[in-house]
Parts: sequence; C-alpha cells; structure tokens
Amino acid sequence: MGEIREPILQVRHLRKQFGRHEVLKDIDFETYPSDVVCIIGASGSGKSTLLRCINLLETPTEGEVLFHGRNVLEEGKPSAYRAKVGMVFQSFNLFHNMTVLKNCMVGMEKVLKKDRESARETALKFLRKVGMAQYINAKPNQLSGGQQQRVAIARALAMEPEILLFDEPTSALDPQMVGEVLAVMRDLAAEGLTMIIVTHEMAFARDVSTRVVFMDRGIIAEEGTPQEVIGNPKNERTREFLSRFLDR
Amino acid sequence: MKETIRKIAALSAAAVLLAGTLAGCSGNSGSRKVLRVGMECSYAPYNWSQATSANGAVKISNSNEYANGYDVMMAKKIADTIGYKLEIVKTKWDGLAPGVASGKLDAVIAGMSATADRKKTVDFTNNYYKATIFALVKQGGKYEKAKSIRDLKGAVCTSQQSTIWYDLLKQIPGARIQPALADVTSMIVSLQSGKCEALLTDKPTALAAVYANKGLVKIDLGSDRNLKVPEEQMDIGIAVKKGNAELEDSINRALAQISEKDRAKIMDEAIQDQPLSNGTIPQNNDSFFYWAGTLLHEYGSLFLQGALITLLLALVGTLIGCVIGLLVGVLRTIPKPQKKTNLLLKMLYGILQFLLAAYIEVFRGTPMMVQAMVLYYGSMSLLHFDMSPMFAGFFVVSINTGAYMAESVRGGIESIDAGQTEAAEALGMTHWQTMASVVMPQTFRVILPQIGNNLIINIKDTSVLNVISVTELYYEANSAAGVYYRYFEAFFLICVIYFIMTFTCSRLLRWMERKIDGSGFYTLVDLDAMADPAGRNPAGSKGGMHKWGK
Repeated sequence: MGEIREPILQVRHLRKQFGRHEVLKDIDFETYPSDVVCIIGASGSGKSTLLRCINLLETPTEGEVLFHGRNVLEEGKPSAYRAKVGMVFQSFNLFHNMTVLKNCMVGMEKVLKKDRESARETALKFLRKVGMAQYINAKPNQLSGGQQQRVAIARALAMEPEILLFDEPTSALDPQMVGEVLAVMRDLAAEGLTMIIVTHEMAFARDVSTRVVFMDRGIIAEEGTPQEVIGNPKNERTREFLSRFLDR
Repeated sequence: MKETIRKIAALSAAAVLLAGTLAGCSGNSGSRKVLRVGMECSYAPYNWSQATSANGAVKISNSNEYANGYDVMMAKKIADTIGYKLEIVKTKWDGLAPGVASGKLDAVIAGMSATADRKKTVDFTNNYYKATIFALVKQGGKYEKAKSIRDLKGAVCTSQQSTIWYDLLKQIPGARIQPALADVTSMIVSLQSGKCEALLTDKPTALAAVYANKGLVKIDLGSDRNLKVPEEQMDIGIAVKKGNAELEDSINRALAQISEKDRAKIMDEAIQDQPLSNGTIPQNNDSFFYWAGTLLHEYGSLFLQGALITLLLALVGTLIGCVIGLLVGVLRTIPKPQKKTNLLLKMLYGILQFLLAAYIEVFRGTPMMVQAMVLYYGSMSLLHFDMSPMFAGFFVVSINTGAYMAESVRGGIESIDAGQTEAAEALGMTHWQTMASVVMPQTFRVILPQIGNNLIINIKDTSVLNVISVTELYYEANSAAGVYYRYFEAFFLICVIYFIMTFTCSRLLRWMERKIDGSGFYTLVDLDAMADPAGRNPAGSKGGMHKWGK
C-alpha cells in the first residue's frame, strides 16, 4: 500500500441502509492494480453488500465510489462502468436460455458491440482458460455447479474487466468442486488480475491475496497483509472469527 | 279481463265432464289432467314472463315468475274449454319442438308458424292467430314514409335467424341483406343504432316493438300484392306431438269457439300489457345418424366455413392478444421510480400503472359477449363508426386475451430468477437488453402453456360472437339446426368439430414446447489439445449422454 500508485477503485464514507437497518457504516476502502483483496468476516457483516455497492447492484445511501478518481454514482448510466468491473456470483447466475458459448458472448455483443466472430474467439479463449471450452454447446442446467461457476468466470473475463469482483464464488459448491474453481482463481491472481473476493476460504485468502480485509458489523475492523490479519490478528473480533476456522 | 276469467271459471266447471271423458280415452285415470304448454316466455306479445300475477298472468312451473301474453290467454281459454289444468313450462325456443316431440310438453303455444318443415316433425292445430307481415323502419330515417315493399328499395335490412321474415327480405327490390340476427331484441337494437334501415317481422312483433320503442315506424305489408307470402307462413298454430289426434281435435274444437274478433282483442290487450321481446327457432323426428348425416350433407360446407372463421378469430385474436399481453406485462413490471426521481416521472408512472391495471380489471371482469355488444352497437350509435362484425370480433377477442396474457406475462417475468437479471446488469446490459436477451425468452417458455390455454378458450368462446352476427361455427350450426329443428344433432356435430380444433391446437403447442426445450443432451467439442488450466475436470456432468465430436 505504501507504493505511489493510482488506485483503480476507491470507496469513501460509504453507508448503506436497508430500511432502518444500517448494513454498512462509513466504509473507506481502496484497490490498486494487481491487488487481490480478500474480504472476510461473519455472515451479515456487510461483505456482500459492500461488493454489490461497488458494482452498483445496490445504490449506496451515502458516500462515494471512485473509479480512476471519478465518482460513478454521479455518472448517468452505469453500463460503461459495469462493463469494466466484472462480477461473479455465489449462485453463478448463468443465463438459462443460452448455451455456454452464448453466455460468454452476449455481453461482448450487446455492451461492447463486438462482432460475432471476434466475440466468439474471445469467449473461446477464456473458456479454454477455465477449462470449459469443450462444453460450449451445453446449457447451464446440464452442468455441475463447479462447471457453471467456471463458465461464469469466463463470462466475466470475456468483458476484459479491470477489476473482477467475486461474491462468495465457492459457497454454493460441494468441496470437490471448490478446488476446481479456486484453481482457476489462483491462475488469474498469478496473471496479475485485480480482484476483490468475498470468501470463507481462509487458506485461499492466506495464500493468494495481497491484502485481507476483515469486516465486522458494517465496518472494516482490520486490514493488512495476509500475514498480519490472518497470521497475527490484532483485533479481538478478528481473532475470535479466525479461531473458528483454525479449530477445524 | 276479470269478467272473462269469471266466465272461464264457470265454463271450466261444466268442462269437468269433458275432461273426465278425455282422461278416460287417453287411458289416464283419477285427477284432472294437466296440459303442459311450452313457450319461451320471452317472445312478446305472444308470451313473456313477469314478476307478478297482474293482468291474469299464470305462474310458470318450477319458477317464481309468471307468464303472460296472447299465448297464455289462449292457453287458458283452451285448457278451460277442454277441462285441463294449465301448466306453463318455460322452454328456450330451440327446446320447444323437441320438447313436444319427445313428450316432455303436451303442446307448444309460442307464436310458432305452422310451416311445412315443422310439420315434418310435429302436428299443428288450426291457426290460433294469423300473423301478417310488417316492416319496421326508423323514424326520421330514409324510409320513414314507406308504404309498400317497393318503397323499401335498396334498404340495408335484416331479420331474425331461420325465420320466414328473413327469407322474405329477398323480395325487397335491391335489398342489401345483412346477416340474420339471433332474436327480435337484437333486430330492434340494430335498427335503432343505424346498423340497418329496415326489418321484416310479423304484425304482433311489429305492434309490440312500436308500442315499446320510441322512434320506430311500422309499415303494414299485409295487403301488399308485391309481397308474396305463403299462406302457411302466416298461420300461427299450436304444435302437438305427431299422431296425437285426440288432443289436436279437442284443441281445434276449443279454438272454434274463439272468434277472430276475440283474438284481435286479446292480441291488442297483450300488446298493451307486454314488457318486451326476444326469440329464435326449433324441431325433430327419426334417427340421430340420419339427421346428423343430412346436416353434414346440406350444411357441411357452412360448418367448415364457420370452423375456419372460428379458427381465424381464435388464432389472430390470441396472437394480437399475446402482443398486447407482452407489452402490458412488461410495462407492469417496470420498477417503481425511486424517491429521488422527479415528480413528473413519478406521476406518469402512476397514471400508466393505473391505466394498465384498469384495462386488465375491466376486460377480465366483464363477459366477452357483453363487450362485443357494447363495442359493436356502441361504436355505431355513439361514434357513428360502422364496424363490421368480424372487425369487432377480432378486436374483442384480442383485447380480452391481452388482459389475461398481461397477468400471465407479469407472473412469467417475476418467476425468472432475479440473479440472472443482476448478472446481465453486472455485464453492463441495459434494462431493455436484459429483457430482450435474457428475461423474455425464458418468460415466453414459461407462459407458453398459458398461450395454449388462451388459444383453446378462444376457439370455444368465440361462439358468443354470434350475438353480433359473426358467422362463426356456433352461428352456422344454429342456423342449420333452425331449418330442420334438429338442435341436438347440429350441436353434437359442432361439439366434435370444436374438439378436433382444440385437441389439434393443444398437441401442436406441446410439440412447440418440446422444440423450444431442445434436446436433453449436448455434444462435447474437442476444440484443440490446448491445456486445461484448471486441469482436474472430470467429464462428468448431469447433462446425460455425451458425444465426442471431431
């Protein structure tokens, strides 16, 4: 963090309220190129909401989301911004009326206005990357959870985003399939893709991330390198949270 | 009238003897015989129903209503003379002749003319009224001053389905004859709204219509030498079961006691007392197959035309209805503007949602038949827009289907997992792109069974459009049945035709659903031997069969 680089993404004084319930309280947070940020914390601590606010799937109640220094909340249409910020969901959310290939092409064709041929080529390139190129003709409901999630990653990658957001990408998978998805994510991290990952996979956070953020009850309770936060937590709540994983 | 009743009461006491004789002859013993007389009770001034026993009305059996009219008065006189107890049985016009033929009724006294066709299936007594032909025109209209059939030259005219009146329209020089209407009420509405310029009907109907409706002018064509009316057509007789000579004879004896003058007087009273009209036609004999065959032979091509019109109405109506439904359904799912949105937009949103909801509620909440009447006649009398029956039919079916489909579409859209919408938005797709590429294709599949339902309902329910003279299958069957009075056979035939149409459509739709669902398996593609970075992916999946393509 000490480097003098421009952050890609900055979140300032972000607040989000659902009715009377305040889910995020004054969050400040930034991401630099090639960062792999893992957000950890208990369920209900606001991790997913933070991610969804970054992608404007939720409208923040207060605060700013700056992308290359420009507040995306003040710009009219979020389409162009969203195209540069990919998202991978817990429940995959593939388009059920389309084949694997079409799932990966539709964004490029409709949003980036690429022609069919180059969209197809790009889609195939990323499907190969996630090991799903053989399955281009399959429909989502014909695939296993791990396969679907890898397609979802390829779909997000095909847009060639500057940041990729992962919202608990392995939580809906059984242990066997978790491995195949994490393997893909490790490769992406190794290639230097900027990622923000909400996860419960502590080993992954420890080994792959450049920075770990621990969230607790709507605030960032602790933040630092994996060695600092996971290896030697200073905050009592962090220690308590991590102890549950270490016990296993 | 009370005087008459007292006389009849006195007579009836004397008639008990005769009744006893009759009962003995027909093999019945014991109590006084009942004469079950069928009539529509909705064909004023011949017969109608009313809430009270005013003016000597007779209680209708199994009902709280009373029957009155010329027929009821005549029936009372006859029953009293021959010593029977009168029972009035309210029966639809279509059911009268079958009723007497099957023995459910002893006689039909319902303003029925003793035509040669009807005589094939029932016997008629001597006439109990002679109904000359009258024309009806609109006051202040082009034909207001007409005195003869020639004066009606070039008139747009119509009459009741399956009546002699309708056949007589041909004798109007240069007549522009419109499709026949189901009953006298429709005829009068048609004339008043300006859909037609002249009607042909009989004297009592015309007198009653003019008496009850302002703005109508009657023209007596009874002595017009240019109008050729077969004598039998003017004879209004009493129908009895074929071969029941005893009853026929005793009724004829009773009729002989009622003079022409008395009949005219009773009719005048009836016309004054009547509320207003409605009616159609009937009758039978022989085997089902004979008549079904005859109907098919004589009217098969008409049934086919009717079926095609029904199918056309249902298909086009469903198609346009689906487009309306999709549009309305999509508009109904537009999310509510957020608090920050400007007031004008919020108001527009509110108005739009209100109008859409009103459209759905009104058209789902009122009968299609009533909508058809309102549209067809209303467009003429209020907007002076002369809508063709087919156009009105397409319009009503489409707008109705649209109202139902809108709700199906809304349900379909809401059933699509919100995650897919979020995923599309996360890719940067706009609301409309998301709708068009992701939500609507899946919604379409979800609502396909509903589209099928609507198509099938429309094939059946377009039958109500006969009220505005759309010549669909039911209308054709009704006309054909009216000629021979073979209602059961005609309607059974169209039941079969309707079923063939609906069953075919439902099979086709199932086939379409399977087509959309595609095959249950997929083909693996061996693109090239490029490394699989994830590495440990077994080929297993829930997709079923795998084929290794080249």
